[in-house]
Amino acid sequence: MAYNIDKKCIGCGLCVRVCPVTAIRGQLHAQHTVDAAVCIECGVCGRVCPASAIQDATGSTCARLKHEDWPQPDMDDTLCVSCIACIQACPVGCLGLGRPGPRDPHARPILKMPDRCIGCGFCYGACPVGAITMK
Amino acid sequence: MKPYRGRILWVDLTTGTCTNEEIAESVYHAYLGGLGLAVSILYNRIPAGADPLGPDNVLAFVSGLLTGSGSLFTGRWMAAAKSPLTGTWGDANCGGTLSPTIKQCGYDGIFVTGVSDHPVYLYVDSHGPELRDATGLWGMDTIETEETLKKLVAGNREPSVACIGPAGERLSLIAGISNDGGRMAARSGLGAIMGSKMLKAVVLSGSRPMGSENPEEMLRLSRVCARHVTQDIPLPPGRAMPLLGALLRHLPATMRMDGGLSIPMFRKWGTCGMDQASVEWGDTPVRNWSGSEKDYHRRLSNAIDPDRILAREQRKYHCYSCPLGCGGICAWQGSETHKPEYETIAAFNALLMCTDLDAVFAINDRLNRAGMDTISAGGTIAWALEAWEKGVITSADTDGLELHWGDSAAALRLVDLMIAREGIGELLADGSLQAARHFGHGSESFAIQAGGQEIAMHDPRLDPGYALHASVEPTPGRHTTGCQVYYDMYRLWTRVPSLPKPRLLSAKRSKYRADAAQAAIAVANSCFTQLYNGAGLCMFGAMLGVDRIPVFEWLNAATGWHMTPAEYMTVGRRIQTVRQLFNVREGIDLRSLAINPRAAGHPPLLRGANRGRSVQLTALMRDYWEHIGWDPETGVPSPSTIAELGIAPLTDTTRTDDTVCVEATLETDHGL
Ligand code: SF4
Ligand code: SF4
Repeated sequence: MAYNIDKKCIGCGLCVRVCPVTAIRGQLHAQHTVDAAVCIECGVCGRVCPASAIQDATGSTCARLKHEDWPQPDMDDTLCVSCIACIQACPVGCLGLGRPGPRDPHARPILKMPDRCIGCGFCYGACPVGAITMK
Repeated sequence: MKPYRGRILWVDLTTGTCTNEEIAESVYHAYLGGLGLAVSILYNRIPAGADPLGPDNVLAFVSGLLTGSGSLFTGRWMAAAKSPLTGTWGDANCGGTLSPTIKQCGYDGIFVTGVSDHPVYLYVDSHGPELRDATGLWGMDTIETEETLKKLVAGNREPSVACIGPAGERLSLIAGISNDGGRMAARSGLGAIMGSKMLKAVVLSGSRPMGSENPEEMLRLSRVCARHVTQDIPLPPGRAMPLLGALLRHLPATMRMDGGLSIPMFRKWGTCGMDQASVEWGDTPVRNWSGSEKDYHRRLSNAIDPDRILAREQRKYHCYSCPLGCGGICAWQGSETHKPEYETIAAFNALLMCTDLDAVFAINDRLNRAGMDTISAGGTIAWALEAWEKGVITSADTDGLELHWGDSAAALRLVDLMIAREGIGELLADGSLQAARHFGHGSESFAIQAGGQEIAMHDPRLDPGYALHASVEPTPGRHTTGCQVYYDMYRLWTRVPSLPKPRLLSAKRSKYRADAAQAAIAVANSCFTQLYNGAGLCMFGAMLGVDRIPVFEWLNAATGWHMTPAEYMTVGRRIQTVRQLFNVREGIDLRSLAINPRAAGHPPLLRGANRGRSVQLTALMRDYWEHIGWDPETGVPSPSTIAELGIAPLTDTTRTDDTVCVEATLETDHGL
């Protein structure tokens, strides 16, 4: 299963620039295509497409969303067990470890590069103890 | 979604091609992932009699079935192949971050065959695999290699790297494979296989999401499990640990051990928390297994007070999906280094009678950088010191270097020579048995190994289970495969009622009886070990006990299966039996893999914690083989056991492309 770009595509290339795994190809002003074998279904292409030309793996058309409205992870340090599953899951490497506290040497993950976050929610899905909410 | 990918990657270094192989659903039911998947494939695909350092040997990197499923403690990856050190089935287990990235690249395992004619590394990302030139990396240590590769392939995300250092390149038979800055798949000499194949590194940068069939149930189970690990239990200062060890030594009875107590120690100190206590208790070998706590007494062992090691720790290190964080990152010579583990500290202190903590940090860092097993390196140097003492080795062999007990500088020098394969290091780099065979004069009698592999720093004279497992396991000389204390901790009887529940208190001498109960315990340990190696579970997680770490429940929730714990234990027995069949096919006399008699108390020590204790190893081995369904005299799995476990007969030992390759090959790129 993968995302799909249909005929409504205007070939602006915005999706190409955001796709974290370079799964999208196409000429400027021509219809773009997603390589289904490469797509990881992160959904960011759908959020930037100005022509509502992108469908998710279930076939529903993705809605465009302003960058400032993209969800970002919020870690609950009282639940987090420092297992780094979220950092490992992130396809754009925007998470990293914070500094360990003076009383707790187990460093917790933080959103180190919020500008890079694509709001895919992979970290949320990966957290074994449900310490992440997407806000 | 399933927790496994149903697909493995084959890399043929001779032809430079990469192919995919689809794996049938039934394979996961029968073998899970991890080592189970590896043995189910390698048993058929490594031809009998293959040269371990030749093109026919296949080196597998496999991810556990539960890795990425939302479970905890399940980030272990494993390497497997025919071992160049022991000539038997070989495998090694490691934490770090490689296990999830294998799956994020879309595979459950990567299987490497053939030999390249120049150094290469394998790079895999969402677009697929590629072989790239590694000529410029050859000669670099593991940390440099990893840092260079991370810069070289810099993409959106940081890749995971498994690589060898100079030890693997120089085909040291005790070389390991490093991941994440010096975590080591250390045992069985598998680093030498990468060296022989000229495969410098595997660099994985996939981003595919992972998951399970029942995420809600996984979350519920993991939350309960996490609470057992993160609760704060106040612990005494490090200087109290030897007193605890001495107390255990003096008690007339032995207690059923509860891993719930050791987890807080691992959380506070890591494995180094046990070093000083273990000397006092009689668990740590002293002076190449000939001494005791009376020789390495508390004034000496104070050098390894765990608080002194903790003082150097800057932050905790967690492997992927681990809530415990037994690892630590320490400041070292203007850089960072992994905190030395129990085994390394024991091997380079009590075993050699040394007391220099700085030297241990230096040796640990050098061996991690070289990609060499610290257990085998320490065991081999202990042999060399005794050989020097006995006049088997003289200054003519060492270019004037004197080898005395307690001389850390000499140990460090030997480490450097072994890494460089210079002088006497040329011989020592292949382990104590090879060196003893070269020097002769009866020095094999004090090469403390099993099947050619140095045994780890846990004394079978304290826990006979270590002697038994080091001798009967298809990978000889290993300590993680089982012992009596592990059985206590795994608490398998809480899920598999047919298994015996040890008494809370029992007479110490009962440990040394070779009887049906000991055999049942040992076989359960082996089956459970292979089961958790299939799942990718960390042994320290397993030590919580299966009523606190829900491995059976996780497996069912992750896969959607409805198997009972007893059925999962049968999977473990199947994996163990195929590992043994691999050795049978190699024509190995399985009795010859027994550990060196000294470590089993033949003759017994005359003083110290383990004085007068001998392990009835022959009887224990016979009982174990009988109980697991192998021939009690030869250790060969019986036809009825093979049939009962549904193990398919060996079909064809040569891989033919039309049976295996289901996807077109990808071209190689030597141009980088
Ligand atoms: S869903 Fe993500 S990975 Fe797939 S094409 Fe869109 S941006 Fe690329
Ligand atoms: S995955 Fe969850 S528990 Fe693990 S480090 Fe991230 S937030 Fe913490």
